[in-house]
Amino acid sequence: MRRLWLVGGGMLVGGALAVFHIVRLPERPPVPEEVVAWVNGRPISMATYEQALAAVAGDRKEGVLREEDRKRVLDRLIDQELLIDRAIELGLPERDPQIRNQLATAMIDFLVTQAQDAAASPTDEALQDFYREEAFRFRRHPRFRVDHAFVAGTSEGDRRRAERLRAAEDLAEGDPAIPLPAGSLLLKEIEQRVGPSTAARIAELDVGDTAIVETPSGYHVVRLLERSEGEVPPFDEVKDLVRVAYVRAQSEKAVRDFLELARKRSDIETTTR
Amino acid sequence: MMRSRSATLLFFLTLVVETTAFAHQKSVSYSRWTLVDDGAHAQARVRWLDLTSLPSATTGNAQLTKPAVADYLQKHLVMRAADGEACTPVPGSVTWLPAEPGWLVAEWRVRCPSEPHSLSNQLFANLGNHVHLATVLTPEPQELVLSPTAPTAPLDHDGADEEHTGFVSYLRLGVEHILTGWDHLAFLFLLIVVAHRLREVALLVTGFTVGHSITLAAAALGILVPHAQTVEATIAASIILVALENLGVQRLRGGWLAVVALLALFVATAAWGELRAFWGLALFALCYFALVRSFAGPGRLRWVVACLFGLVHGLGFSSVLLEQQLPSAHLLPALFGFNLGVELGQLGVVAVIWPFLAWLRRRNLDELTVEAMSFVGVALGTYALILRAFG
Repeated sequence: MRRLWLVGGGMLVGGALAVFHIVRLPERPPVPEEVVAWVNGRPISMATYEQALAAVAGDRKEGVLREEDRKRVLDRLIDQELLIDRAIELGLPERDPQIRNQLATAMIDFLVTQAQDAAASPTDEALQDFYREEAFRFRRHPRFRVDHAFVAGTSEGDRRRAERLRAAEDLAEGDPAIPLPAGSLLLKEIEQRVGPSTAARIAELDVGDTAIVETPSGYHVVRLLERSEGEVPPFDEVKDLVRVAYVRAQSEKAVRDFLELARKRSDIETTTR
Repeated sequence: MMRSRSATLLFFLTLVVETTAFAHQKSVSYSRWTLVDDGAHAQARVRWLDLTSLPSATTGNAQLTKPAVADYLQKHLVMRAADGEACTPVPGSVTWLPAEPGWLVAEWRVRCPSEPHSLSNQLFANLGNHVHLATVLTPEPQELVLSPTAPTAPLDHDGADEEHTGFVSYLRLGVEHILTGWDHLAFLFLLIVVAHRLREVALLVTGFTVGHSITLAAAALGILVPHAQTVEATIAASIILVALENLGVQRLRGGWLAVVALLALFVATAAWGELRAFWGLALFALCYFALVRSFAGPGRLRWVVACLFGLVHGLGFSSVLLEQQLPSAHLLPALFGFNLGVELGQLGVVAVIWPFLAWLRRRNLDELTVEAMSFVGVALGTYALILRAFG
């Protein structure tokens, strides 16, 4: 008798397992509470309709809509649904590159908005954690105080003159050039005045060192007088910046996570080597 | 012992048979016509498989290019005006729409000399059992069922013609569907072939009817969504299961070999055919044969099987109605007509078979008939299962 129950139970389990994969329940998208029209079984919600009415009313000087305006707005919304239906029927999302790009962009925007909404009110703890983990984002740029001289020309004599200047204590005897202002400067400010290769060389120098940088127009003689490393400002000072960076980082992560998941659950085959 | 060996052998034989003959189990095409001022817009949906059966395709005289297919569709699916003159396709109006795998969907425009009056279908006349289902969008949408016996239907502008539209046409479609559906007939036949009394037959047919009516209605009304490939494969599996039970393999020495072969086939279908329902069906079959072994007489659980697999056959029936995407107002009469047609066809088949079986029994040929038919059932069922799961 026990055996009979056992095999009977096995039949039931097997049958249920089979049924589970033979049929499924239909997926019914949530229907908006108030619907102004149905197009091929798809609802146009009152909210969408009112939004469209508000946009039209905004264009009117007096801001008042007549009955025919309302009818026209509803007709346009129905037309839009019909056009979308036809575009899908024709497979435009599969074959029109412009629509595909727009869809991809819209999807990214959707993910970003979703992530921004979720991260709209982060706790102080979350922000502080983010601030600690991503400190490099808030670090100030280093500044340099530099003594600089320029020797115009690239002859052997000019090179010897530059060498002499390097050995001198004061670099004031150089030729006229764009002077570097006194005081601490950002590397970007230095680059604007003496060019990228000289600025890059300055960034490599130890304090007190002097270097000669040859350029097509002559020799830059530079001496690093002082360097202040870029420090991370206190959390309270940059809290607003941290919040903005946090939301942006969450948005980027949402897109990355989605693509990673999509790749996992998709069948992708590449044929290029 | 011999019987179980033969059944097992049949299993393995059918595994290596070339798979073409039963690829064509049912042939249906669809069209949708929207009437406009000077003619109509047509949208037709046909199977690639049906196109490959055309004589020009099989003899290699013409390639199945899209222009050739469009030309074939326009010539064989024709709307006519009142005087019988055919509406002419507008040159360059053909548009190909994306379609599910195995199907082609084409749209074109026709211009009619006067108001369209009838629709004729000669598509795939070579197949003999092809049915074309058309929806004509006039102010009152009409569904037309065009079969080899009634290839032309008038367009009913005032909603009076019941013969080609609505209930009657679906009743006829239901009858045709069961009469041309070899798999449903094979299952029904194998169910009743072991019955000795009319009461048993009535019980089995009722069980099958109850089962398939429930799921036909549920699927057609959108309460359940069937997985088409799994349904078709399970229908084939139901034939094998009943045929093996008819042979009584579970009670024979060595009969488990046949059951193990069946389970191996189900597991292979689940694992490599990726039809996960077959994991459940394998467990079901294992327990079912163990249970049947414990009962004294053959067919004691037969009505349960009739009802349970009737549920699956009902999902198979529903595919015809689902493909046509009937408007909800037309769904109930179509469903009722179709189901009634299936029942009438089924009763007609039983009315013919039962006296014949009784005649065989009087001549002591009933056992031989059961064995022969069940062997054929095992072979066909296995063959169809492989085709539907892996084809």
